[in-house]
Amino acid sequence: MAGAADRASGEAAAGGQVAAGSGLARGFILLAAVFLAGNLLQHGLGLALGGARAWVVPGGLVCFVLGVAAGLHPRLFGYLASNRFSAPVLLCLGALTALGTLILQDLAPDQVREVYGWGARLVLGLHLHEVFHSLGFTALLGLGAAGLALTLARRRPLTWRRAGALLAHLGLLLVLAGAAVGALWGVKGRLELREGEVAEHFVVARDGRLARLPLGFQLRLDDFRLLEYEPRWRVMVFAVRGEREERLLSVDPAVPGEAAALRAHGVALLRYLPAGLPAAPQAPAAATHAILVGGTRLEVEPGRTVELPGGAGRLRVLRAFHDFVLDAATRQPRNRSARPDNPALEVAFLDAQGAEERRTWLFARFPAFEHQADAGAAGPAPVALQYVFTPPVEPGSGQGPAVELGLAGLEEPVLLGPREPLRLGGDRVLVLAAAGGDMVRDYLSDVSVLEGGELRLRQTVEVNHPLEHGGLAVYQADYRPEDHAFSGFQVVGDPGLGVVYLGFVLNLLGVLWVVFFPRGLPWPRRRAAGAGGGA
Amino acid sequence: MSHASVLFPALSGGLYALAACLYALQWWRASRPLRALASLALGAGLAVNLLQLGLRWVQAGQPPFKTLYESLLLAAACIALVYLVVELTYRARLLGAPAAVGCAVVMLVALTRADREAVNLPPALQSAWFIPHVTIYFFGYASIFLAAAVAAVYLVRPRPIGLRRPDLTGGRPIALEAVFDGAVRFGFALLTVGMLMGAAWAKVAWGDYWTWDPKENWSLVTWLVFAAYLHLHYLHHWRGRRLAVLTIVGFAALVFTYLGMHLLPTAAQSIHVYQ
Repeated sequence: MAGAADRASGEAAAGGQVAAGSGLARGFILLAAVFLAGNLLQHGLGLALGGARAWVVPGGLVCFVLGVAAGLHPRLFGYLASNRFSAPVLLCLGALTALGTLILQDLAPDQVREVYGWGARLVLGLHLHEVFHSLGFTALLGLGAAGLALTLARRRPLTWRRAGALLAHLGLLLVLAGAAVGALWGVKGRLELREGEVAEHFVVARDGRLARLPLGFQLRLDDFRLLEYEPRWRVMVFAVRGEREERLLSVDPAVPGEAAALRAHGVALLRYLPAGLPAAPQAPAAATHAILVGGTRLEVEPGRTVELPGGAGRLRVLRAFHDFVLDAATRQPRNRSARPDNPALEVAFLDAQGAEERRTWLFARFPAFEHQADAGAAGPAPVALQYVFTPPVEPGSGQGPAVELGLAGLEEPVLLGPREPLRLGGDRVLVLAAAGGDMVRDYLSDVSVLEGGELRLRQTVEVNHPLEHGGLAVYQADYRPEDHAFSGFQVVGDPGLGVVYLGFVLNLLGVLWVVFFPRGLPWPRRRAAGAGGGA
Repeated sequence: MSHASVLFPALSGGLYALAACLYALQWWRASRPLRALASLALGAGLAVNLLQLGLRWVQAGQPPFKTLYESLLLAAACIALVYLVVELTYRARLLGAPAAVGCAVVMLVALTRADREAVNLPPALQSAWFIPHVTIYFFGYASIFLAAAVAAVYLVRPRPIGLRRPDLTGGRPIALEAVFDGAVRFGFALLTVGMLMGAAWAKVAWGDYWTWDPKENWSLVTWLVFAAYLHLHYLHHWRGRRLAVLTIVGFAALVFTYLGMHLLPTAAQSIHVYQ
């Protein structure tokens, strides 16, 4: 806490006994002028400051020019290094940062005009739709950096308190300098691998184009693992109003006391079946395929030929995929995963002699979509076909739990599996669902680093645990829910990182120093006070 | 957990409200039993508050700082803890009423947002940075809240307090300006630690220490306002009322940073917005 003595030294220490009010106003006017000049210059030059490099050069230039000018002009030096200048800089940067959250960022000019109507001219004129990458904002950052540098260069007696403040300011300057170094000479790109694949390059976006940069080593994805939380099943009641869902109730079906609350919605929980629905007597052990032709259902399987009803010809089922995808490399179909996410059937229409007339793909999830499989006869299929895929039923194993409910006004109980909404009347819906939101607990990539074909390093990369090798850091970035063999990485090389971290530490020490020990460390003071008392 | 999510905050909120009344009564009439009862009520409210946080932590197997409801429980506990440390250190009970009112209001808001279920922690939050980053920030929030409360009182009554009521101020008159100034400085130091920790954590998790995310930006706005406060403090005419107003403005920015992110048009770009 600052006392009266600290305050008394205030403005004198900060740079002169100039009327402080006019100094603040002068600061705001100067900053507004610089901001507007930066915007005008950006319009005049037609600059688009997309990349990180763009803000470093103009910001550094402003900082350099001001530093030189201040060196030549002592009054300017004193003003730029004073609190009368730094306070307006901080407030203006705060105001612009807030504006950057109130106005949608990184929109194209046409989108800005569409969103902001008559206000678009102001937004575009001041580059408020890309405020953090505008020359005006960059110039203010440059002014701030110049102020920091001049504060450090100011010749004043090094008191205990001033030392703490200098440390805090030096820390901030180093953070800005380190960020500038990283922006100028750092790289950031993306790398995608599937299990077993090896990469030697990663992809970066530069000047609107994608470029491949060498890693300097080989990176192999040995294994990718997606871990999920153990589901905590709850019976939930929602009120659905338009697009909004409000959860009214959530009870643990395994706790009888909690289930009583369902009665308020006219529901009685009769049984909870944690292992799932009871086994059906004729539960199929494998997936079944059927094709609907008009009102007729034809049970089919790969390799089998069936007669189409109404003398429409014959149909041979060639291949079935439970999760169809066309391989980008081979252009051949394959299963993308073990789950039945996109069942597809390849069929061939046969003529009277058994020769193939045309082939086509049928998709269970997209009945209107039919993909011609070969370059044979063109035109529509002779009859409309709909593929019906029935996944294998394995009661009590992986199908999730179930609840048996008694509903007011119904004699028969209702069996409800997971994620099957049950309308209760009005706007209320009941569902058995896993609580806790996103179920993904972690995603991990086991990778190997190879150099010249030799194994150098094995590591598991996950969020919060990047791989660091050869001056690059490889971060676990994302995954594909439908492809558990895929892993996405962000590759970052940041030569300014050490400087930034040093800045963090110095700024932290400086702030703590100034706030908690403004008049020195407590123990030497006590010792001195004790010695003084003894004397 | 379902009933506990309503019962615990109702109980601790009630105790905080009782403490607020007892502390406020001391502004008019002080007695030893009244002082003891006020501290006891606040301490009991804090104990229930911490017990709920602890139970939730044990039951969910993760720190209970993920949802808005959980963070409100933490905010109330931090306000009470910071105040009690001030009371025990300085023997001053001046801030008791605003602190207890703050805790009670936060608990009331928590009751309207009661979560019955803990939300699974996404991978990024499963980090050693999570607990210190959040708790340090919330202690900073609590300090700034107390600073703003005193600044508001100062705007109404700028004279030093305690000339006639030494029991409220630990036996010596207290200048309210010095109190809110000290709380701002303490809070600013914690906001600095929290922000730098967050930046270092983001670097480890995603490779970027700053991504101009709306929540990051507003935490920077709050930090810049209080950094400006510290610089303006050294200007002769920036004393008293002006600094009190700036403290309240900074607190408003802080509340918006904490609770207002979903109101922003850029909220969809943020990974920090409470659902």
